[in-house]
Amino acid sequence: MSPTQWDLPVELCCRPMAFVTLTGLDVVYNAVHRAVWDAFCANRRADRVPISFKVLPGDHEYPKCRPKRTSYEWYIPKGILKTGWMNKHLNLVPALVVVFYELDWDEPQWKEKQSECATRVEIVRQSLQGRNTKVAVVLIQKKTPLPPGEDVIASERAAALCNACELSGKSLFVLPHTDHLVGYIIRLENAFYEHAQTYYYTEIRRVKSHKEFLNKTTHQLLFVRHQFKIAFFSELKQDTQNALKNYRTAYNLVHELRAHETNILEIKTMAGFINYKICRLCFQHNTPLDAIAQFRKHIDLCKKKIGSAELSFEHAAWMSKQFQAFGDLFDEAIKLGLTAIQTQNPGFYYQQAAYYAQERKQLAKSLCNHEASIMYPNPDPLETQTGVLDFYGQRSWRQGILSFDLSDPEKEKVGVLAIQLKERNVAHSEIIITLLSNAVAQFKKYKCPRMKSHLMVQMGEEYYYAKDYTKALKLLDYVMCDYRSEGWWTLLTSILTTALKCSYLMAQLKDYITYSLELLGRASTLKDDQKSRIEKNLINVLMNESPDPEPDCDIFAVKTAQKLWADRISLAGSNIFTIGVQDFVPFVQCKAKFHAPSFHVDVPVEFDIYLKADCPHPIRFSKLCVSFNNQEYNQFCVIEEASKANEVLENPTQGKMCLVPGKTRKLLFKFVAKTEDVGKKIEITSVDLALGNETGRCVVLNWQGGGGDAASSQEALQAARSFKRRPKLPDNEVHWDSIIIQASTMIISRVPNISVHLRHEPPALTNEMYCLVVTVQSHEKTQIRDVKLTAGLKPGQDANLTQKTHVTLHGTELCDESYPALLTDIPVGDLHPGEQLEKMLYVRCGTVGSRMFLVYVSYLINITAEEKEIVCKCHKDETVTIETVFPFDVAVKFVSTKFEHLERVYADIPFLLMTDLLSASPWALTVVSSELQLAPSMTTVDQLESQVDNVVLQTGESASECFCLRCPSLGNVEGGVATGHYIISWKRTSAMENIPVIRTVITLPHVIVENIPLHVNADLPSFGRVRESLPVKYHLQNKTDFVQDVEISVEPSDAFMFSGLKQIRLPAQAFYSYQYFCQATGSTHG
Amino acid sequence: MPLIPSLWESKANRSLEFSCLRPALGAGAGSCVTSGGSRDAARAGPPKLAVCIAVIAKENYPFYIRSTPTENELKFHYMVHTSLDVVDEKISAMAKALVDQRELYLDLLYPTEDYKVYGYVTNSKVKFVMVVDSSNTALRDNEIRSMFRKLHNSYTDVMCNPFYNPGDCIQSRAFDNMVTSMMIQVC
Repeated sequence: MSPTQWDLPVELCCRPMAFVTLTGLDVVYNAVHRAVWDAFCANRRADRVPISFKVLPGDHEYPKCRPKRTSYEWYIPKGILKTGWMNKHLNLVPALVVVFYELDWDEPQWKEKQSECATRVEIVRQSLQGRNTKVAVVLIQKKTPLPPGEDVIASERAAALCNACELSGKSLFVLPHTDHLVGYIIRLENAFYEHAQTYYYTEIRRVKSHKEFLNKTTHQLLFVRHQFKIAFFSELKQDTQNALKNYRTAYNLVHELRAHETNILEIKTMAGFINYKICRLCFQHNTPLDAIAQFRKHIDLCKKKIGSAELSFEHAAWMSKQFQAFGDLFDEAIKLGLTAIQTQNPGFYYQQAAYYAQERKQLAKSLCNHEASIMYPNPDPLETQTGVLDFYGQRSWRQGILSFDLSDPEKEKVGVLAIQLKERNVAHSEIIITLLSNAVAQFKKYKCPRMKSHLMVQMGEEYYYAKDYTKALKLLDYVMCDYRSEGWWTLLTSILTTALKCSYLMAQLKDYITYSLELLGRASTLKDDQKSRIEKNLINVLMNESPDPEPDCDIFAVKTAQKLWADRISLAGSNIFTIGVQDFVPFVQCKAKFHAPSFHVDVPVEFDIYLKADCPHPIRFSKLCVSFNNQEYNQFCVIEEASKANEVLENPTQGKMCLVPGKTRKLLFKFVAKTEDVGKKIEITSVDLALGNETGRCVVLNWQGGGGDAASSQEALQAARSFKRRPKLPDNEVHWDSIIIQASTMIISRVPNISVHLRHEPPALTNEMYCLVVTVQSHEKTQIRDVKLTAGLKPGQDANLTQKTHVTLHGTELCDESYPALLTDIPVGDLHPGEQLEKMLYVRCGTVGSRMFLVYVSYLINITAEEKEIVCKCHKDETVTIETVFPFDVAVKFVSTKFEHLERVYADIPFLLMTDLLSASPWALTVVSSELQLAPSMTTVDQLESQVDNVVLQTGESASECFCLRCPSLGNVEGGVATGHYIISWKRTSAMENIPVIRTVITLPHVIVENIPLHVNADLPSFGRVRESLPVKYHLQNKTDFVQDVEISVEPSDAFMFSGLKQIRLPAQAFYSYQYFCQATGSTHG
Repeated sequence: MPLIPSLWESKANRSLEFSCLRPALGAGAGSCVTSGGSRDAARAGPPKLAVCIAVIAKENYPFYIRSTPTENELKFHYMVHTSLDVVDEKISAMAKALVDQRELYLDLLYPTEDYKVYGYVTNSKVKFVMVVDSSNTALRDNEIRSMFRKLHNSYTDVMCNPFYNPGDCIQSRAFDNMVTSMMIQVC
């Protein structure tokens, strides 16, 4: 966009820098000069002094200085600030003119050169006549200068040169053209900067000196002008604090001026300029609050200063610019490190600027609606001789006229007309949209999503006014969902209305239909008459006709649109539109509900589709189809009503597919599920409802899943929370809110009609072939086929159980590791109604503990459902928990031949092994036989015959056996000597003949064997007779390898008489046994 | 350099505070209105100043919006809606601060050129938003506060009504009257 009247001038917005001109440099042909110039202007970073340089020829004509005024008495200023003034001091009148001259101290033709240099300086001085501009001379030298004071010729000649040029020593510089050029240049420019500051200081003093001549009545304008100039010079001097102070004074002075319709624009323009400067400096000084406060003050003071009513759009334009400029300043400051917050960011200013731009547009629309016959005035009253105004903010046709009375009302009229006609050509919408999009960018940054949406709506509306309907729709469509999701229906309706207009004007069929659907729906807050109109239009569109234009549309745009719609009709093409409803709120609601969460495969699956229309008139749909995750069912769930296109509104209350507004329509669907789907979920993936038909145009509303649109989840939540009592409705009607969507159902197998019984005698005994009798009886009315049995350990238990449990159908042989834990699919044939079959299963459990066993019977049966023959697979299962216990406990002990308990046995001395078998089974056990398998270290004394063959043990009874054994001497064995195994063969007493006998092997305990040195064995008769001798024989056996001395003494009891040696000593040789007799006689008395 | 009124300074703990957007006069008036003024206000009942009063549900949809019939209703709807940005932000800041003694009054939400928008949030996150004409500079914080408190009481009465269905829009004559008493009277 080219700068407009309202844009702030560049010279105001830039940062003022001291202006220094460089003369005598030939930057085109002289390489040295070029290098010097480059060093001045390249890389001007922030650390370099703020100077703007310009190369000018030595004889450049500077702006002429007006003769000094000696008295202000008769002077009447014509305006506040000349339009050229700022530019003049920024770019035309230098603070310092530098004359570059190539001259070395040892120049042979010194005299000539010196006078040439003096002439050059003189020419510059001539052209700066009357100005305080400083002049400086820089000698470009080839040689590096000697340190000061050492070069006598140099100091002499320098003094002479200063004299000739009338320069002070401070204004003469030497620039050796050596390697360190940049360093010299930086030193030079610092020196220039000092000179420039002095210049601006004197300028400030000069302006201030005028003050005393001024009086308050005639020179009010000058007060402002001078104050502004002082501030501006201070800025040039980089004294921003004083600049700010002076601008503030100037600002107050501007508002003290007498304002009138004729000069209000000038006052506002200047106030705007000064305000801009103040705000800019405040931000620069990092006092943003001051800037904001100043701006607020400025706006409050100027808001009401509208000026001429006929040109009130100018005020709006000016206000808009004020806000925009402040927004820009604020944004600039943020980029330099200021932090803004949600409630105070540049966005608000851009937004306000946009509002004023909108106001400007409105005002312009009402003020500039001249008829086309009115021509732009000629000559152009807005033209000036120079092409620019003399003073900021004045009218071109009465420049410099300060009188408040209009000297020439006719001229004024023409001028106003010219401005108004010009305003008509302004692209207002473009300005507004730019400002709004600036604001959007800001609000996005400062976490204001709703503000952003609001501004985007405004942008969309502005695009609509600007007739850029595509962009308008894009924006509106983008923000609609925000308002929809938060439930602000009034706002949504307003946006939709604009969107509908856009889509109408562009003849965008799909958009037009979508927006119509929503505007007819429950989210729309439109009045019924509007809804009726939209519904009628929608039906027209569906019948392949053009809709009526939307109200309040531009007449020309409507004409174009009508043509477009006509083209659409003739244009062949796809006339079926599928619209997904999950993102908006259409006027038809849909809910699907299966009657039950699960259905048996032999009964038809039933569900209802509920429909409800919210539009004002009854409406007829052409088709409803339901889609499932298994597409085979889709064909069963279609309702189609053949109706001609023009019947959409006829016979409104007849037919299934005609919806009466506000009434809930229930449509029942039924189908038989496939047997393959048993155990699966049937889900409604979508519901499609078609409006219109293929001959005209057709809209297919598509609900994902079991219905529901953008608003329904919130509504469902509300309905669930609500405890309102709903009024009673007639029987076949339901409350819409009370319908809960149920979009899926499970298909489960048919209920089996057989009985499965298990007969067994728990608990099971370890390792036995436990018998489980399964009885299956059919209660079906027809024959069942393919009956199969799966039985065994229920899967999913402890993995170890699987290793230790084995199942077989054959009880006659013991099963081993190779048998499975679960027998699957054992075919048992067919069963007639009422028939019963029995199957025996044998389970062998290797460990104790409880196990779950599963018996699962499946079969096929032919069923007729909904006149369709289907083969159903039914199954029934039974589980049973069986405990496994040890059948008996076996106790083993060692005793001496005298049945004395032995801790240990003696080598070669016989002892007894006693086994004790205690039945723990609740059922009678038959011990078929037992067997003792001796370890090689043990020998038997007599026969090892089983003593418990075929003994039946009831619960708690025990069977004992006794074996006489001897253990030969083995030396000292750690942990004792292995004894052997005790093997018991047994079965349940109740078990059948053919059931194998179970052998239970018991490992006998180890026994400690000890060697003894001497073994005494007494041989006593079993009885004696009174007064007869009783021979007593003692065997003494030496078990050692050595001869032992044995001393034997016999101490008879008093009941016996004793004969024989009472005490003997004899050597007992190794491995010899001795018999020793003694006789005792005795009598017993009474 | 003009001094910032001290009232602003005390509020402007953060880098920038919206209160500085208020016109200088308005902020000044807040600190220097005499007690006589407030007594007048007390006698006259709640000041009839609001141009729009809205009650917003926890889920941010409107329960109730009333604006002066003289002006564009839609404008106020948008204004209330956009103010929820600031309300959300303030509530989340409050949650972060974990203040026990919850302050329900949210102060000035954001000022526009012509209006000031004030907010209030109940413990159940129901928001009250009040739009006041910015030209009314004499309005003070505690007056706004008391208006909100009255509104809250009236709202509580509505909620206590056994015939009111939670989540529905407010349709209560008592509440209407209370709102009317706070709105600028249109002649």
